[in-house]
Amino acid sequence: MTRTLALARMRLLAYVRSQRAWMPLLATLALILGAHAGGRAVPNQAYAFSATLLFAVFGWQTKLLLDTEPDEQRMLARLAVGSGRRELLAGLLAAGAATVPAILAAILIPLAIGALQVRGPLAPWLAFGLWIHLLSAGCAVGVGALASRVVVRPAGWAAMILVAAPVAVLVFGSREAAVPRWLVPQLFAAAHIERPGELAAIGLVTAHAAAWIVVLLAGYAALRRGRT
Amino acid sequence: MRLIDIYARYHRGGLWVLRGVDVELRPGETVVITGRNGAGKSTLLRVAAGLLRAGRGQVRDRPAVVGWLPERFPAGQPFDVRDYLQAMARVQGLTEAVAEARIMAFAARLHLAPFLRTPLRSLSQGTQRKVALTQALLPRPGLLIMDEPWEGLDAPSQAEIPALVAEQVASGGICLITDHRGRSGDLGSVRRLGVEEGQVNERLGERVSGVVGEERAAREANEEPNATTSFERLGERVSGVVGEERAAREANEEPNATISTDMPASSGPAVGVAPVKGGVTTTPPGRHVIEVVVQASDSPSVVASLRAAGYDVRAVRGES
Repeated sequence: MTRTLALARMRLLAYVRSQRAWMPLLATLALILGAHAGGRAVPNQAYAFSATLLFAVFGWQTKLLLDTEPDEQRMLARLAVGSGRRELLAGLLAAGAATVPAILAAILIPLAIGALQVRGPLAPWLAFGLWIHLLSAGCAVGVGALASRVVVRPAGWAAMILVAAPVAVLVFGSREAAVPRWLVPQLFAAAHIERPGELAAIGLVTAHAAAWIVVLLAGYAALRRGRT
Repeated sequence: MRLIDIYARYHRGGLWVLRGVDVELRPGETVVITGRNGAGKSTLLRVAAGLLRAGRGQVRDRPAVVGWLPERFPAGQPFDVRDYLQAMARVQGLTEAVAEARIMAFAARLHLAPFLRTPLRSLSQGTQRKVALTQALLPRPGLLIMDEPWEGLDAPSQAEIPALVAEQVASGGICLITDHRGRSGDLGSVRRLGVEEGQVNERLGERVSGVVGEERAAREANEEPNATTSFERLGERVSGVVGEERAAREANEEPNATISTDMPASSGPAVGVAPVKGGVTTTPPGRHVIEVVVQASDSPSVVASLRAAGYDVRAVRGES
């Protein structure tokens, strides 16, 4: 695991040093400030909305991070770390770690600018915000990985994946959507959870998103078999 | 290590690049792969390394640690040489102290020390190859794969290749090398495998190697003496470059600067160098004189890097 973490660290460092990290971070700030500019909102709706919006940024950011590494370096990394599975895992860990600043910004900025209308204790709502953004990041990392250069070589196809997935989550993620709800992760459905203690509803959204993450990552792993 | 009945291709439904390859690589053995461009040499290396899954067949008993010197080093990364090598060493599972010691040792051997804080993007192609070679050797691999290891390296570093290979095989490792320019003669006892139309065998290796050697000998015998250059072993490649540059110059392309460097035949400071007079260089015994033609604007930096690498730069001609 140490070698996998070392490779994840190397990739994260390359992503930051290449200055590619700035673009998604600035987009995140713009989206968060834009989303909360309309006035105060209850935390469940505010956080569910920002998690749904940031799904697009998390996916884009994952592709940027994974594509920072040249193809030949990915081969060298694969040999250095000792197995294709570790190499794949290191990329996903680096992509997951790269979402942390955006998640923290999405949780804390609305609080800092007074955009949350909190009734009762704050801590459970912060946990709620962390939870829904982690689900969003998990699903989006899977989508971004599927759009990465090692899987999808033509940039146009990758762009289509990165645009189509968030649009589907936004359009089909509501309760009133005309298509089966299992088609997309129900991030925006979390807006209807009125108390952080609604464990059944939270469990349902979590299970749904987790199933999505498993399917996406299994697809990524299957498509990466034999591709280095 | 055994490659058994290997069929390999890059895309499903594509043509098989390797067809029914059976090869056994024994510990302590140096195997040189020869063959024409596109014959499947690099594909064979990738299958051996585990970077390309065989469509059919299997690879057995591959050593756990594989070192790879790629044909092209991926220099487009935001690291300097030292940071990159340290990061790779950590990924290879080396401790910081061990990594540092090995990096410094290889940097000294390959004349990489002056460039340790140079960004990868700013390195010359030859220095990039040294970085690639160092990362391949750092983990002391059981299987060392080198794709044209001589390419781009300066003479002192080229001279290190046989020693590095000898150390690799002396420790029981396997060394797999491609060579399409017939430079593997310095490696001592090697087994040659030829790749032709997706097939691999030792008889082909002897034939291809023989053809390469004959072509080289013929080229050496027929080459006209050059008025301004005097090369021995390294001459083929450098004189080719000089010739192309001269043709470009004659075609009134951008002005170039000409730098004559004296290259020590062995490592150590350059002394006793004959001057360059009237475009004709006299070469003292045991030394080589190389004329390097570069863009005029690049000449100060090239002179500086040659001097840093231990060459004695004797004259700069042309426009400045």
